Amino acid sequence: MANREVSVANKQDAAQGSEYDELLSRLMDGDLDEFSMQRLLKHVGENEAMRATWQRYQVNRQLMLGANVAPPGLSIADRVRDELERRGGRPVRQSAWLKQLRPLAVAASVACLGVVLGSQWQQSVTQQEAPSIAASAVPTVRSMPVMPLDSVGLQAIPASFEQSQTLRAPTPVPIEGLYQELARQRLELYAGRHAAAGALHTPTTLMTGTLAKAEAEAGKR
Amino acid sequence: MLAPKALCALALALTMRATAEPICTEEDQQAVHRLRNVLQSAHASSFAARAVVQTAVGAQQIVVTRGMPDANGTYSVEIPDHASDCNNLSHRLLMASESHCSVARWYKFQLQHEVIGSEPVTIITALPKDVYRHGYQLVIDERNDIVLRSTTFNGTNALENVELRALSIAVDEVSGTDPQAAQGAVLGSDESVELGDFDWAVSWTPAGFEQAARSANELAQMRTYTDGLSTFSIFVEFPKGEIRIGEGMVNRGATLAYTRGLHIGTQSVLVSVIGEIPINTARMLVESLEWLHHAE
Repeated sequence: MANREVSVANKQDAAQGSEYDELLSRLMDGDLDEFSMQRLLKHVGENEAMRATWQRYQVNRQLMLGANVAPPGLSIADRVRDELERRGGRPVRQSAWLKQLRPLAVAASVACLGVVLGSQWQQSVTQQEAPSIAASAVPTVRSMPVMPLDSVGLQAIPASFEQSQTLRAPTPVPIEGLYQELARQRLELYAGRHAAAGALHTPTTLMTGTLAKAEAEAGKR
Repeated sequence: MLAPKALCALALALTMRATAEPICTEEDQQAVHRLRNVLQSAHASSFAARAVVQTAVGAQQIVVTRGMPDANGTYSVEIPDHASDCNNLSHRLLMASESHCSVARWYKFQLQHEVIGSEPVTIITALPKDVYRHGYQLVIDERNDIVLRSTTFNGTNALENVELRALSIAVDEVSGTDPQAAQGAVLGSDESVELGDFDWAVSWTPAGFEQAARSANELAQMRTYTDGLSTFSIFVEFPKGEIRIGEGMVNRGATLAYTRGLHIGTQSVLVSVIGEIPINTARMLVESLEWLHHAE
């Protein structure tokens, strides 16, 4: 009878474990509601194995992103607990509004962790790509920052070898963002011509064209 | 054996009836007539007003005038006056006498008459008959043929709303703007020149769009198309050096800018579509471009 109870308990633990695994997976995907996050964090705080799993997920994620970063010390909860123990006292009972804020604070902490890890990854990527950009002899869109794209546009200025040693490599711009900037510049460049040839001549786009033409003329001035 | 023949005959009859039916209604014709009046300067009054422009990113106000100076001397925009003999294709498509349906072939019109304040107005809603163009709603002052409010929408989403407030209309005065001069100001503002044949062609446009203008300068070659209500322009640049293939878009109110970088053989090409059209139309237009003297 006792063995049967143990067996049932083990099955329940296993079922709960897989449920928390799923919650953890959803957290890593950024797809976890506040209520579930609270449940998960409570469980992680009480379960050493779960914390190890979380840490493993973080490392795997960074490896997938190509970052060569040491396993993060995932112990915001540990540090908080240590600090409380260091101060020698139990946590003060929180007021109701603090309880309401706590999920938000946890979410913010997770977000901050993501930002920190993201910036570390970005730095890593930048450091990896910088030499290839500086050494590139062929002008490419990526090899120049967004803002200097002038009216002619896309005329990357190939740096000499000496310059590439002294100039700081520009931050690579994702191609999507770069083309969005190009589209914005083209809108400024060509909206006036488009208005004069087209938009100003229909009753439905007359006002749109008028404003575009006015903005283009203001830009010229 | 008779059943299939009967069905075929019925289908044929329905098809012939559908073909024979007028493609535009009385409501369509009235709407087109009103739109023609809006464009013709002979029926237009001089006015000044405060235009409130609402887009997805916010609202701004600007003083707009037509045919009269801005009394306050503030920053203002002059709406160009359109001469009745304007030769722009949009005018011709809207004024086309041989086809009284005109733009009603591409838009379904709804017409309402209301009184706002003490002024009778006509509300025209132009619903596109396909997915390649936006819809429009105009509130037109019936006495002066002034568009008091124009809204551009895509599906149920309003992209841009321009509303005239504090409208001051010049009474019994001839417009201070010479229509010919205004026309010249509009058409002559394009400083580009003809540069011979282009190396590219547009092999597809949505039904009803025709080429209204073509020009080039040292920066880009341009073709402009219109269906009478909507317009778009395609700009093609041939930058020196290599570019990465990609695409991007931005919106400013109803106006879309879609840019795509291509490699045609060894030549880099940057194509931009600027216009009051949906993004899918712009992408399809770029896809349809044919490069005549470049090996792809």
